[in-house]
Amino acid sequence: MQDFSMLINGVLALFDQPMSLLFAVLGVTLGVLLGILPGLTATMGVAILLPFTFGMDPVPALLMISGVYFGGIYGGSITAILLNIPGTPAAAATALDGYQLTRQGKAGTTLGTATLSSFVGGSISILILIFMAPLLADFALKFSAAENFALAVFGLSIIVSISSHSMLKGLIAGAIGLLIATVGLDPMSGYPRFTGGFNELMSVPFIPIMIGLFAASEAFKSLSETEVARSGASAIGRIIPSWSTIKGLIPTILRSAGLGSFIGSIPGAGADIASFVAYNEAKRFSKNKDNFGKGELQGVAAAESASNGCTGGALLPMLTLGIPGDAVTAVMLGALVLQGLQPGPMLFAEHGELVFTVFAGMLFCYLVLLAVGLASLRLVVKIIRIPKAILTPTILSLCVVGTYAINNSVFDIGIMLTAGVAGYIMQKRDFPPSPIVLALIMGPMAESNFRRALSLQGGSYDFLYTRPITVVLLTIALLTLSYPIYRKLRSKPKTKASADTVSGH
Amino acid sequence: MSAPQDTNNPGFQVHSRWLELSIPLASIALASFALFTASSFPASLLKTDVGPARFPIVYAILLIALCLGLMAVILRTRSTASATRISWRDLRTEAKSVFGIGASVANFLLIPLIGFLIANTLYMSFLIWLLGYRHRIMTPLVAMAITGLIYAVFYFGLNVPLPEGELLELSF
Repeated sequence: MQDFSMLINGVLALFDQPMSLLFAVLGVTLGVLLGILPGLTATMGVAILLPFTFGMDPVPALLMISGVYFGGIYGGSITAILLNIPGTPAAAATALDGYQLTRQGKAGTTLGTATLSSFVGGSISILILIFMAPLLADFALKFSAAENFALAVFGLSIIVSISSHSMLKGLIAGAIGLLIATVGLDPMSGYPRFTGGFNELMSVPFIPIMIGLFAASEAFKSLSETEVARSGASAIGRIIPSWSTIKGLIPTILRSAGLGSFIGSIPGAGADIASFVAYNEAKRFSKNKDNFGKGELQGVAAAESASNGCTGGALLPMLTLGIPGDAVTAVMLGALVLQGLQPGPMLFAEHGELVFTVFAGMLFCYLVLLAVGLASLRLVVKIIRIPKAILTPTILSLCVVGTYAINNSVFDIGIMLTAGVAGYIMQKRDFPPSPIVLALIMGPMAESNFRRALSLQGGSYDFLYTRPITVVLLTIALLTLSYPIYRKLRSKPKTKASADTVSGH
Repeated sequence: MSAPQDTNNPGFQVHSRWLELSIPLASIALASFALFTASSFPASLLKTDVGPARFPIVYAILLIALCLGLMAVILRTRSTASATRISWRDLRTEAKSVFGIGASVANFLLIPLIGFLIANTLYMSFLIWLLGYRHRIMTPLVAMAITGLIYAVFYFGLNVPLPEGELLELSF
């Protein structure tokens, strides 16, 4: 009940700040644009926009960033439906049926369904976030240094699940991130480590590294990629589906929103996993199972509701525990830090009013998404034709200026470029960049809390196995790390056996 | 049928296995440097603290161990994929990214000297030209317009003064 009254206060506070509403609209619009343009992701959008929020008040800044995140996830579905080019990995499930429906001349209603499903899925996930976050934050308030260390180790173990192609490469990226995270002043003694005498390196230059890894590296990569011909359906017809169609989709949308919120709240599992799981569930529950993959509206509704349902879920561990579950929430964590807000349980204790105003604003962002989505669909066909020759240089220029703007420092541009080149080489060699960012966030948290816990225990390591929550979190971390290795070892004999069968041995 | 094509365009070729090894080798070098530097960090004055060197040393050892593991996997793999060679054509495609990176470095070096407006206009003109939009008048005009827009947003909208350039400041 207290949460509900805080939310009402948040709504009232939000409508007292017209600039916040304006920046929410701007953020959603930019996010949809970024999502539409293939190659530009929500993470990239949030990273590029981060420096723009510097100097802004926290509420408009966070709403603009949230708007870009939500709009980016939704925008990816538009090109998936119209051109069979998923703007984001999560939209790949949408493309399965969405593009088939476009080929059948139903582009308008498919886009309309995707917009409505995104709105409902996203709004439900934000409501879940609003009512779950204070509970989780209250629980996390009981954590001391030992539990926070275990939490950081658990956060680091997620590296395994976000390393899509090679676990070993992901772990190497994570270890590089951990090593970089030690640059700067030692958390206990204040001794400068690996600074080379540069004052700029007294703390890890987190935001230039993120802009370099997620935005500049993608832009460098896109310089050598051939431009995909982007000529989709020029007329999309009726957009809003009929009431009978919507009525038939309601159970699918609600189920997928719940699934998306749950999957999103598991660190390491993102919108792409959620959309495919929800798609499969929709198929399992559907009476038209055979129609899936050939143009089934339920498939589009499920994928879109789940991928947007993930947004609120993913924000839950980031805001309450300070653990970003994926790259985009890691960048959003950077946005909070830039505003002087430290994500974690204390955020709710110290800035409760602000947090609930932002929550109210997030619901507003989804309303804007519905309006912007439905109103702009006819323009989209023209927007997706912006040539890469203009887009990529603009992104690179924004990376340069944006990085400079944070501290008015040319040195930071050098850091951003170094991170960009490193990110580009890593992507070319199949090394995921996200573990670096995760390690940059979790590394200092692990080190400072471990050393604090050690000092509190008089130099004894007992806290690692005598405190129940610490033991549970460390066990989960160990299981998260070892399960993929176990699965790989188990699948090897099977693969060998099947290879033997094929070769006739 | 593919053999004649290969002989027609033999070009310069690099084993992709060496490229695969480049990142673990560079990471080992980075970790070794960290180990060497951390070994000179002073010990903590507190008896209960492990000191500023412990965590960097643990991370560096972990990184070296993981890299050695990856190198063993790469060297053990005798699949066709890891033994394939990278042809001139692939390198030529990659060259655009390399030129883009080079231009970004040049822009980074030029900004403090000639200022954001001039350096970024040159940078954008080059990138637009690199990506195939080649027009003697329109290419620099588009670059100038976008640079001007970015400058206006940051300078007037966000109150961020962008670098004017040391050389220009000296000459005026």
